[in-house]
Amino acid sequence: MDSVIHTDKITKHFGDIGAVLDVDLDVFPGEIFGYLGPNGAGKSTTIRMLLDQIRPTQGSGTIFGLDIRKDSVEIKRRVGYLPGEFALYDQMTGGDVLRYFANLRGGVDWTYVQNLTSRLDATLERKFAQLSRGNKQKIGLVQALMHKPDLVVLDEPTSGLDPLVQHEFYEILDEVKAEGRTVFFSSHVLPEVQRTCDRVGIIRKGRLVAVEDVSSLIDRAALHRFEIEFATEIPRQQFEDLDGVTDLSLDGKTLMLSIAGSPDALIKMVANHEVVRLVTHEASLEDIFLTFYSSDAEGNDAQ
Amino acid sequence: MLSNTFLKSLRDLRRSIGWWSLGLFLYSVVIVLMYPSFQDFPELNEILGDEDSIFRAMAGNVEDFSSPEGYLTAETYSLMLPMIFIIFSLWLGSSWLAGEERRGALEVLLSHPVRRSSVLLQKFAAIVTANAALGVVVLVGTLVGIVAVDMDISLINVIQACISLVIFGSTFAALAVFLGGWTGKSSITLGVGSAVGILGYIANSFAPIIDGLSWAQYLSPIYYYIGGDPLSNGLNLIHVAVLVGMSVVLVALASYLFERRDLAV
Repeated sequence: MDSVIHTDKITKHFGDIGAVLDVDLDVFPGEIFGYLGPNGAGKSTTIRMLLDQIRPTQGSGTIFGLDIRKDSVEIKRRVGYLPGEFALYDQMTGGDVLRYFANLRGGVDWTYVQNLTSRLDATLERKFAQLSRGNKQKIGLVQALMHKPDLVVLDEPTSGLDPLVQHEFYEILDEVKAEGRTVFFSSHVLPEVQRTCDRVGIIRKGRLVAVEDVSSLIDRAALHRFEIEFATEIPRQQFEDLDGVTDLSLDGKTLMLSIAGSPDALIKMVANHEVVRLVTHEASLEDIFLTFYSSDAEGNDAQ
Repeated sequence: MLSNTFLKSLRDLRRSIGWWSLGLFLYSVVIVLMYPSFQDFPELNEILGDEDSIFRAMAGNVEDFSSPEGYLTAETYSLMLPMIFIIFSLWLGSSWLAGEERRGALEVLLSHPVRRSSVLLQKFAAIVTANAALGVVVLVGTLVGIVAVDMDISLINVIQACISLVIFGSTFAALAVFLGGWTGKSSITLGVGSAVGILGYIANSFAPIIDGLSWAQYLSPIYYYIGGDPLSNGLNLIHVAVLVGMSVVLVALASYLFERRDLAV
């Protein structure tokens, strides 16, 4: 299958800082691909290279088989893009902004614009300067989707949106996918990625550390982190031997560990001792990175 | 008005250009209306001193201050008007390129199927058009004043002086576009652009009266705007060619550099 997005060891340095390092990426037609990583991992830098806003220090890439540098204008005809920070002309209304951009694309189906606008509850009459961050973001989403592009590239699209609008946005993404079009979006919010994506690429400190199906990511997300304070000293070995335990540390009477799957065996083991305090939480994306990709932790710092 | 970047840029100006025009119109009329009181004061020429005098240099190096051409050149065409056109062009050039780039608006615009160089050229063309509009305002204001006080001056030359002013303003638009396209920084666009304007004024006005430095006048854009005394002589085509040539080179360099560099984050 021909990739919609393909990069070949794409690399970007800002001065001495390596923001993106040797990233090989393939995104296939009709999938929703999540580009996942903590803030500053290199997500936006990668996306901005794909859109020819900044140029790779090394490596290359194609979209629809076209070169991201040479054929950029041709590519942009078929791409919709929402940057991480959607800032525009303060004195223009949302509607005027959309009309302007529609004209630059040689016109769009305005009934679809109205459809998107009402579903996302966007305001077209107000000047940009008067809009809240979330309402600007909605105009940005309409802008990225209104010409029904073959590829939608979204940089942290749901930041600033309230849950109802987020839900509607996910529905729209599902429709885009159902029409065989492709979505590439970056996020640092795990549930959002689980909800929408088929596959994810995980980037950390500029390096693509994993690309996998979202189902296997969900398995990893079933990881729970426990912090248990006991009344007395406890033997470390018992807990280390439990199935699925990783990242264990014992600091005096306080035990910290992560466990994948059911915590049943752990709870029964804990019950043998007097417990002072027990805290648990779902693993954050960062925890997953740390647990599964700690071998990639060294290397250049991303910006 | 939203069909391309050129028209959209002009549309952005629709409110502020009215205020610029009103101010410039009133200023241009009033300056001419004040002429009769200067006309009756030929001693000014003696006060200003001979042609090496610093006062004469400050008054635009005119020969006869009490003549209509000399008066207009000294009072407004040699300093105030070019200054206003410089400020206008640098303001637009910096806010439409570097300013929009910093705010992130350019990133969105350039994610559409448009070439960077095309966006830059359209913005430049919009600034030139706005300069031309202001040039017409100055012309009309001056003509109204001329009719009101029955000033004896060649209207053709007044028109040519205004054309020279528009070409001069456009050269600074090219400079602003060059600095913004190259660096993406408003501070550099405004700072370097103003410095060129001020140094250009000093070089044009004072270099000629300093022994051994008179050549520096030829480095000044202001010289190619007013040095040929367009109010007396009409346009000097060589001077026009120098300004247009500078603009073409600057805009071409701007496009080239802007296409090649990273957009600011």
